[in-house]
Amino acid sequence: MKYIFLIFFICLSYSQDDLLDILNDEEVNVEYVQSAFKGTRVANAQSLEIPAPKVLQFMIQHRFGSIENGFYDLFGTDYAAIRYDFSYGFNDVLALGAGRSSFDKVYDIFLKTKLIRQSKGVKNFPISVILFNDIGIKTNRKSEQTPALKENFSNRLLYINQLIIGRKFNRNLSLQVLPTVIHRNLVLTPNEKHQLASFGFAGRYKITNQFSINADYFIPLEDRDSNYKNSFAVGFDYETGGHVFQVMLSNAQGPYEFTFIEKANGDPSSGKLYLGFNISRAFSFKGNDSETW
Amino acid sequence: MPVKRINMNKVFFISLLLSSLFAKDLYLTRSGNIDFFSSTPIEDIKAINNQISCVLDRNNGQFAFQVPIKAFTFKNALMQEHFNESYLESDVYPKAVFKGKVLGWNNIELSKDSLEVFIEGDLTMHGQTNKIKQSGAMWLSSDLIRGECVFNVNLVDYNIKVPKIVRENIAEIIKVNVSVELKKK
Repeated sequence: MKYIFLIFFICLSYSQDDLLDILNDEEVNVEYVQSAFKGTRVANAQSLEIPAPKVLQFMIQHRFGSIENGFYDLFGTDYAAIRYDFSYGFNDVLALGAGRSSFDKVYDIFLKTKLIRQSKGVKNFPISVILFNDIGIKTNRKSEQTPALKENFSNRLLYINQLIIGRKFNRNLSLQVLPTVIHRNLVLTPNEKHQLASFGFAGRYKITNQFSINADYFIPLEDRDSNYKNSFAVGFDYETGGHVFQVMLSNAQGPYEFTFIEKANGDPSSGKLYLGFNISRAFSFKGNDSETW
Repeated sequence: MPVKRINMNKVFFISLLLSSLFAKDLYLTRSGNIDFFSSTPIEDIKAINNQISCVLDRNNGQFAFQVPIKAFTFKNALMQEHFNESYLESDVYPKAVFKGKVLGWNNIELSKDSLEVFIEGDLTMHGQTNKIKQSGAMWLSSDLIRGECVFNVNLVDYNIKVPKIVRENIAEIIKVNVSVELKKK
């Protein structure tokens, strides 16, 4: 008899089972991890993010002069190196962009492709892999240093190929590595290599919902000339209602990949460091019809 | 001591009988729609989500909703990010759930005509639970049970903090629209 009671109670408890458990039973969605970084840049380096689909992002990457002269030139703010950056998200995985840097007057076009997206749910994958390809065209006039610049158009070109491999570990911490190969068609001396490989590290830690600390660092994989310094930048993101504001301190002045990875010339011991900021604004090209969002 | 034999057939039969006695008559969807609307003099903000799941037990009028917060889409991608990162904190609270019942279910006869019903239950969102009592509409269309409900959510009740800088842009009370088509499971 007691078995029957037991079964009775099992049935009873089954029937009181939470309706929510039924909904939880068979979840079918793949959830792609979002917002590993607030912006498309960590500080100097590219982040795991691209503009959202049908969004044009305009970013001003502004870098001041060196802070070493202190108040005389107000920590370098009398001088400026600047890059304008436009990028457009075609869909969740592909963005096309263009930029113009003041250093060497480089125009560049780039593609940022999400090869693998970190995901949870039915499809579980621990990391994101993004491919960044950029072609830069130096448009400065020839100088005594670079007489060959005018000889051939291809002498003006440089290529940046970078993999961004990263993971959002939790809502606050995201880390990534950036194996990078830069190829330049024109070098200044026979000793310099055309192909330059380096390896970057970058990450962010979110302190509050609006504020995060960011840093990136690049080390060369082969020898560089004596002026070469390993590039670093530390900074923070501050998110206001309409845009992301990033402030950083770096030993490299230029915000373009080639300039900060290969042309960093400052170091903390001499006080030669550069303040800078990125400010971005997103323009949505989604229609008013919510069906098409 | 002699072991008492249990007649397994009898046990099986009784358990079958009992479970059928308590069985549910479930109606379910995983693609219901929800949208919300925030209106201020400065801007109107709308978001839609067509991944909500809902289950109704036709025997007793009890039902439950589950809303994946990350599935809300906005026209403005940055708003969507703020919504997830700063306001609803969807990494910590990925779902909003509602559990409740249709009041006076035993006296309700569903038909093709829209019928006003009253629902009552608990809405849990952003880690906070509040009672909701609201009117809605239910009707039958072919083999589906359809339901609609409009209700207001007061951000303060769910501990959703809007930073000062955008306080003028986001309404304190948000209008939420739910509509589902439930199919027999």
